[in-house]
Amino acid sequence: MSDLNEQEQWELAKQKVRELWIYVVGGVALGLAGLYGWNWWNDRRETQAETASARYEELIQAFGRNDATRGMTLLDDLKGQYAWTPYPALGSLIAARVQVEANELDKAVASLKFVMDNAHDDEIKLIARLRLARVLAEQGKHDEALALLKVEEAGEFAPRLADTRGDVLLAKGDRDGALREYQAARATPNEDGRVDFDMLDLKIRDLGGTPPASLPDGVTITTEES
Amino acid sequence: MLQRIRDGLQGQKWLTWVILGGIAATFVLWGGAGSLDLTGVGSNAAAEVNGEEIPASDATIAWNDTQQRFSQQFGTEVPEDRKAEIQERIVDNLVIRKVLEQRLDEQHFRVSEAAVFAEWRSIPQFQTDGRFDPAKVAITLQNINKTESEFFRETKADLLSNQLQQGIGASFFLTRGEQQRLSNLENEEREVQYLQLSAEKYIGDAPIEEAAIKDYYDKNGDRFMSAEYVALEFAELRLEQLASQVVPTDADLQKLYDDNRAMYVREESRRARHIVIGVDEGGDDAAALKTAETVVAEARAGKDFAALAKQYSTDPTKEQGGDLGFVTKAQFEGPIGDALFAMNVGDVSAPVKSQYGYHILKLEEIQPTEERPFAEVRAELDSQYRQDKAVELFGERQDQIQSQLEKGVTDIDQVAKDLGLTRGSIPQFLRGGGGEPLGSDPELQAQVFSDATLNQGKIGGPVALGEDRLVLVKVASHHKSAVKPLPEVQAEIVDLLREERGLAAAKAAAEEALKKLEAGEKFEVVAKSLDVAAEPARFVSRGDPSIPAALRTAVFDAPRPGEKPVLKVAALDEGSAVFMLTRTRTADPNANPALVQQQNQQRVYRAAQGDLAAYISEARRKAKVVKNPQVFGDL
Repeated sequence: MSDLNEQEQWELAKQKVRELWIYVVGGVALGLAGLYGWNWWNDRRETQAETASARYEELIQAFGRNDATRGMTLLDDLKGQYAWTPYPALGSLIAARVQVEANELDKAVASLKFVMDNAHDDEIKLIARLRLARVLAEQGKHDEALALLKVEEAGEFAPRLADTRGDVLLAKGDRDGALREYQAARATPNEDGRVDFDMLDLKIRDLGGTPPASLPDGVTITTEES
Repeated sequence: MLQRIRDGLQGQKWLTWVILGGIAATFVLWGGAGSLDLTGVGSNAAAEVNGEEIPASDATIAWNDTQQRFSQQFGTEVPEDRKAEIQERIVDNLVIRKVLEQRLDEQHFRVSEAAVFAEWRSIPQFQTDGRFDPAKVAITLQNINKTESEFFRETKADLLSNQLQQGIGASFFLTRGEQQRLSNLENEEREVQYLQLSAEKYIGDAPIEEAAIKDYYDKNGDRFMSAEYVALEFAELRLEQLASQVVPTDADLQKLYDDNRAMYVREESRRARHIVIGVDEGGDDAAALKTAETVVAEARAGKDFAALAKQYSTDPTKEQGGDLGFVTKAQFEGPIGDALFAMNVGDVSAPVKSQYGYHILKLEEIQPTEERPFAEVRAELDSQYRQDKAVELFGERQDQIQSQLEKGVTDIDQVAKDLGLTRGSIPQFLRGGGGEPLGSDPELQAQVFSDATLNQGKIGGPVALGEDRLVLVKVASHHKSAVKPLPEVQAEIVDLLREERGLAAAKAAAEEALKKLEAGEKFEVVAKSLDVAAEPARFVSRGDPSIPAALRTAVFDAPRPGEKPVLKVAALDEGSAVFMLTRTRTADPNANPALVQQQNQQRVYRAAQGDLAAYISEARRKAKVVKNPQVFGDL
């Protein structure tokens, strides 16, 4: 395996250490510098995130008292400097609410699109998508809305998506399609109350359907052929 | 090996940098990533969420709290068959909390220390007269058994999750179109005319046949179960009973009196002033004595003692004019005490030597010994003695009872006799309900219905009822829950059957009426033939309290009327109804704008809760969770 004896190998190794110590020291120094830099960077990010957090709180207050000007200023600031934090997306969701309430639907569409494109949280994106579909439906863009509501991995949001699809289909005039979607939403387990079953029942009965839930004790309905 | 490295180093210089760069990178990762835990789900973890463990203690603490709250609320332990479900929920909640905590951290949700303290300042329990008060923080936290840093972390966690909740919840909206539609649905009104057929009217007075009663009894035995109980024999030891058996002698009471002398006697005390002429170590004793004698002479000549003290005394009491206050002889042992307690009021003593120097004393006032004589406090002593002795005996008796039971004695009469316990019995001691005079103490319940007591005929206990009562129990007979005999429930069944038949008859009459209405007969005419009033047609809303709830539900569950009215029968609690639905309309939103706004807020709130719930469930679904099924294993 080797043509050098142990003694020669040892000598060679010592020689190599003499040649290479500078790299070892350099590596350690680089490492320490890197560690310092990493910590510095982290501290800076923490401070920035805390600042963004405070702006976000202020934004909630501003929109809460209907001071949209101040709210939008804060939102622009968050979008500009703190894009890597969760706050611009959440701020934008809140802005969309205020815009819908002011009937500025185009602005709300832009706000919700921003969330869909920029949120760092897939579920926040999905929430924005659902709301965007509803605003588009309000604008009469039913097909665009329905396209948005096709989501491959809806997960636990599936019944909410179905409920909204039902609303859009009904607005479009497809009563049977709407009823199917409502029934699908109603058939999903709902322990955590993620859909409003009472409201769904109203929608289902409104379309002549019968909700699957059992009726209260002692109440039965005799249906006669008419 | 070394050869290969050597070759490599010679051949490719860049590799050197790769290796050394590796050293540098190790530093950075080591510093940046914190501790890396690469172990699996530990036995002291409740669950592992995305590789992070939740301590088992979090789960067990929550479980203990739950048990405690349960027993406070319901007076019993958590039933065995519900334990698993509740424990499961506890772990699920911890998992969800952890999942959210991780998300918040990864996505850089942050709150500053200042924000946390700002929150604290707004907590009413931390305020005095509306202002933040740090002292209140300490007290409040102590009351809820939390340290400041724990509460700081909790507040921070709350603020963080609140930011997410606000983002999702407070941003929810309903568009104008949606509001309009939902309002139309909720506030729909339906025009209805109805008649009500009460079951009572159709019960009639025909007797119920024996066969029907027997049949009902056979089929519905589970509705007529008697409560489980035992006939209970018990023996009890009461502190008051022991106390009444104790008979103290005069000597006992005298001893108690002497041992507690301080309670009955106040020793004589004397109020004095003193002047100290100090002698330092190795100082001039003779000169000090001379000064002291001069002071004595001046004081006896009538000079103000307090003034002299201020002038001459080397003791700190000089500022108070040498006042020592009231002292007892026990407090002032030695030559000074002896001198003081030999003086008369107004006397000034000769110099008295102590380790500090020479003292000159002046006696100002004597408070003589005050004593409540033995005869006067005898009754008190007697009751005190009995109480003390009874507690002692109670403990001894408890030990005796214990050792008797350990011998496996099963004759409760014998035990009672041997140990002087009071016997009693309870003919019906109910499972879950107990029975007087022992009550429904949970521990006693558990003892009585334990296998050993219930099935093996052993004496159970002793169970402590309060601090002054011990109980032994023995089950004389056990009466399991069983179907009550028919004669006992006959009357009840007759009532049930009559009601059932009345309801059926009312329903049949309603169906009959429905047919007539469908055949085109007028509502009023049909009502008259049934001898009931037909309410005029009117609009009702979903919340209208003026018609029976079951009828209202039926009215709104029915399809909307088209060209022809909708006719239906509705079963009510106390009979049946026939109704005719003629028109529907939407309530005018302008009639009550405040109500419209309130309803809208509620809809937004419910829908926002839905978004939050879906978010949390989805976050939970996506997380990698491994639960430790053994976490409550040894509880």
